[in-house]
Amino acid sequence: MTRKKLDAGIMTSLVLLVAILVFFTIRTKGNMISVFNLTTIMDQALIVIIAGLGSIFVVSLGGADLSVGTTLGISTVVGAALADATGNEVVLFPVAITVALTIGFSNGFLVAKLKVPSFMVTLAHLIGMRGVMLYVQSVSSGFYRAQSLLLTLKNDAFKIPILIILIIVMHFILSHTKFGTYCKAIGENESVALNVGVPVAKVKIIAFMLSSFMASVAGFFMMAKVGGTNNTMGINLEIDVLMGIFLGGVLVTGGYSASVVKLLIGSFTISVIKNGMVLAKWSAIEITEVTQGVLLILILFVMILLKQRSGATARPDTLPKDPTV
Amino acid sequence: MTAAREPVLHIEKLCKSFGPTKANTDIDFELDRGEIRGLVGENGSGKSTLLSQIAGVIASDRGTMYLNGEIYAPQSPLDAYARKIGIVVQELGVIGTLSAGVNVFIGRTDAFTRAGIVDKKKMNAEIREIARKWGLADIPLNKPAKSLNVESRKQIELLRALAIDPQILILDEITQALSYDNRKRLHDLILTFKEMGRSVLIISHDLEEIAEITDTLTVLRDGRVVDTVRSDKVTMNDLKRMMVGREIEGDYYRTDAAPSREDRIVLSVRDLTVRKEVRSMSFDLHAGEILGFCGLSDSGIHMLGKALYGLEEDARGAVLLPEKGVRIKSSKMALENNIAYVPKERDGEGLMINAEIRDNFCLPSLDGMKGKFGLLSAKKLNDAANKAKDAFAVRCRDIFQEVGGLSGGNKQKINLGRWIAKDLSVLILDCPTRGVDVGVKSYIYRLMRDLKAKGLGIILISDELLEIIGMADRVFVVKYGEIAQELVRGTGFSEEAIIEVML
Amino acid sequence: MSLAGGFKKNVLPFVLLILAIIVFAVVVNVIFEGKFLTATNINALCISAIIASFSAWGYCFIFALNYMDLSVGAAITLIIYASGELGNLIGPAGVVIGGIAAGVILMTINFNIFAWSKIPSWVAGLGMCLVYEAAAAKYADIMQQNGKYVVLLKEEYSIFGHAPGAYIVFAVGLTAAYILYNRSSLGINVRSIGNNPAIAKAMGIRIPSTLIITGLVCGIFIGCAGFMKESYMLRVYAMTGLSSLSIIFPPLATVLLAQVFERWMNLIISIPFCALLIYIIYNVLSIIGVPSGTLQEAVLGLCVLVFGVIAQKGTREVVK
Repeated sequence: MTRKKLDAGIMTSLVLLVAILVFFTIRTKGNMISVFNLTTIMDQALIVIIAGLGSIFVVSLGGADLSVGTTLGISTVVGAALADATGNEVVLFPVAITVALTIGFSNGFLVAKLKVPSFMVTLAHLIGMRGVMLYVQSVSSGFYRAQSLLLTLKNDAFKIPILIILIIVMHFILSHTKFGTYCKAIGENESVALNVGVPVAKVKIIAFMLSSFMASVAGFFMMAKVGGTNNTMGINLEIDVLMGIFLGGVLVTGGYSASVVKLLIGSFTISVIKNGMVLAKWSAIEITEVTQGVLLILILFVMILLKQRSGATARPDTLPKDPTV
Repeated sequence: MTAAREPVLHIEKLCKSFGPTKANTDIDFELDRGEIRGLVGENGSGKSTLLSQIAGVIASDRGTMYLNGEIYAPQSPLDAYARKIGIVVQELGVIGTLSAGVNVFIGRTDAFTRAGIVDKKKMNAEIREIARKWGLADIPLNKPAKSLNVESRKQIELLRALAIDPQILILDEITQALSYDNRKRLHDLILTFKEMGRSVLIISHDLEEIAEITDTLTVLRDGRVVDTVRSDKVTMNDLKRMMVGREIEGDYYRTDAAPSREDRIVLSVRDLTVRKEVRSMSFDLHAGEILGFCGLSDSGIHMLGKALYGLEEDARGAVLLPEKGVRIKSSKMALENNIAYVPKERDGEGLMINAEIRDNFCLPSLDGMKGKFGLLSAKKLNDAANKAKDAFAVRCRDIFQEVGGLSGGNKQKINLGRWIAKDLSVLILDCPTRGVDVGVKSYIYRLMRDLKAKGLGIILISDELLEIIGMADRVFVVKYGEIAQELVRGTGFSEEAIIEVML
Repeated sequence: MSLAGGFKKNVLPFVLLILAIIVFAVVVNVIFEGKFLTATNINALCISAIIASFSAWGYCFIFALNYMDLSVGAAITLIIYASGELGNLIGPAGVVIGGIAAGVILMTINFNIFAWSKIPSWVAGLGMCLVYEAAAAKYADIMQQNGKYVVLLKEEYSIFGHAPGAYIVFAVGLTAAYILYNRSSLGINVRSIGNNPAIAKAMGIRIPSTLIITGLVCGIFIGCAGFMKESYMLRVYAMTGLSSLSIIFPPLATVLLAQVFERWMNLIISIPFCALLIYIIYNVLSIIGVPSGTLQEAVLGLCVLVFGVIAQKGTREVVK
């Protein structure tokens, strides 16, 4: 990690986080930083972090996965329906994961091989899958009640270690494996990656599958927390994940600016904001949404400004374009 | 006798550089009314740059231009149009999604609007009138430009230039796109221009054609004007001699005068075809051989480089590694089989500009950087990058600096250097010394000599003939996607010989 | 792409298309035992298609600049409220003025953000979607606090929600869209900028002012979609949680489908037909008994993907 990159991205996000924490602590007269509240925040951030651990790969290659929320919903709903039908809870896990991986593959294939922009593909899945999910729920026996195996995920003794393991594993994959480096290289400049010999299509497909996979894992935790399935599962998750990633200082174009550390800072920040707003009695949906919308635009604007300023030091080396001088 | 009239265009000491590349140096130029002037010179001689400055497409660094005695400093092609200079240059083009007719009057459609609606009938009628007036063929005006062929698109640009009734017409490599009939029409048009007392500036690779239709020819070499001669008095040999004939300085390049290579073949190409750009090329590359490829802009040599590395999905034919019995079908396979490719567009396709030097260096070699548990080891990455940085004497702050902040020469060192670290069998270079200062150039040539001695097979694709002659064992001169001729290092291995085939 | 000249070539596809739709409609009607071709059903289909067409025409301009605005759904909700409130105050004129004014304001904001902030338009649009959704929710909240629901347009003012008002507006809109996109300097300049900004600039097209005017034009069409929807539905509830994205999908699918046919039919003109086609599919699904809001959305998502793929075929550039 270069000092320079640490400065721009992580510094900004840390400053933002601290500023927001301070703001809300004052506003809520200290309630913000009570132990109980901090654990609540961690709890809420958990889902976003887990989903984000997958989506960060897609963002790192310069794309976006807007379907994570719906993938979470539909994978758990289908898994639950089958678990219900067979009466066996264990069935839920492999089924949900398979559904998620299929969606991920379809996303990746459409983007990598058929060259449809990622936001459009994942948006189509968002809308489409939501419809399918509601359909499945309308024809199945209603909502599922979480059984004992799932409920273990509610137990802190299991939750925290699993989360930490996931964070560490994903961090290493993104920062210390060939695959992760290839993702970031594609985000930096896809033509360069192609010219070097990176199997771009394959990497993209795997990244999308990873994103969907983590969405289903987040789904398990959500089911445990909520006690089963309902029909608003995962709604808005994609926004929270994107905000978590961008607030942490990752650029829209991804590249080497993508890191799990930034995701963590950003996810924490968005959870603090949401939590703080509830504590400060600003929990109405309109306030949360407008804050999210404005913040999203602001943080991206600032990051672009910062990037432009640091890029201004690059020596202009304009070569004549093809064909001849 | 009437006093000599003022030249319509007068240029003094015009200069333009792109980084370390001096594209035009101290150009003095005069164009009279009713004169048809051709610009000739090989790739990199500066003729397109000169025309682009006159056309207002790029801004000059120094020097002055005078049009009819008044200072002329166009900020954009619009200024050129306003001063009645019609241009057909390669940097512009057509808007594919709009119709041909609209393209002719793009940006000036307001002249045909009534109540906000563009009167297409009136516009198309005027275009046909222009075509008729200048004796040009009709083209379908209502179809979107992207559905027309290259020739018709050039016609659109020509009509666009003629629509302003220009006093100077600038044509940059338009003739090669035209069929025989249309070429004839263009020649007639040029003659009409002359009769009307207007002037034409034209670039073409076809020396015989350009000598035939012009009054005078200006020869450029290395960004400077060599001479301006009368077309009817100069011979082809004179022209070619003026275009080339530099002294090869010192041991910049290789000093041996005979080709050398090992017997074993490292790369074998059979009937390689990429759409219409590369047509059924076949050749063998030996170990320890530098094989040069050169040609004009439409020769397909750059596409060849990409195809050799497995980057072109549309490629047909075979790229084989005989020693390993492998056929290259993708860039991933090429990478795995120790082939390296250094593309021509350094900033756009070779380097990740906003990423660190270390990341750029290590990207092709990640397999060798693994440490514990098969994860990439930061230590190995840093060591490799530092080693390369020292070995190539890259001038930078440290390996964590952004590549974008380096000079062209240092960037090229990274572009090349990251491959050299690997144990290569084949190296494909496309314009390796483009935009690079003399010091780094000689460094790169030295590097190539060392690699050749080690038994590497090198493919050298270049627009610089001197470079090819200086470094290659063999040269393939390519025309329209096919190998026109093979020249072997030794006597007769000269710029003149190559130009002879190329033009 | 003009209709003048080439009568046979240009009008024939449309004639074929209309025939195909009629045949298809008759067949469907027979299959569903007359449930399809009822007056109410046809009317509902046509009005929905008209509303989607206005949004789709707005999208033509957005796409021409290579933008993608995801906030249009939420913007339409706000437009509907403005249109309804003003309409209840001063009548049908208020419906139109409120709608168009709101549309122009919102789209101008969006275009300015796209043009100057350098943030990719889909992300910026996503952010604005949240903002507009919040604004709509706030309005609903305020109304609720006063003991009311969101605005309900009075029946007598809803002349644009059914024949003949709706069809008159449609005819005007179609003409305006066709002229603006294909035959005005604005349309030409916008499409040039989107296709090749370098040439556009070199040829003297003023990019900043063109962008602003395009935002205006876009706003007018979206505004029309808004006030027509209000006239038709009389009351629309605020949607949050990005669910307003589903409002975008029918017009989006329409434009993509029209792009597939662009080689044979003018984009602007084929849009109403494509919209009708899509709503017919919706309708058929509902008649089968699929609960609304479920599989219809899935089919729509599938449509967007399929048309998007076809429209993209042959793209050689890098796509993220």
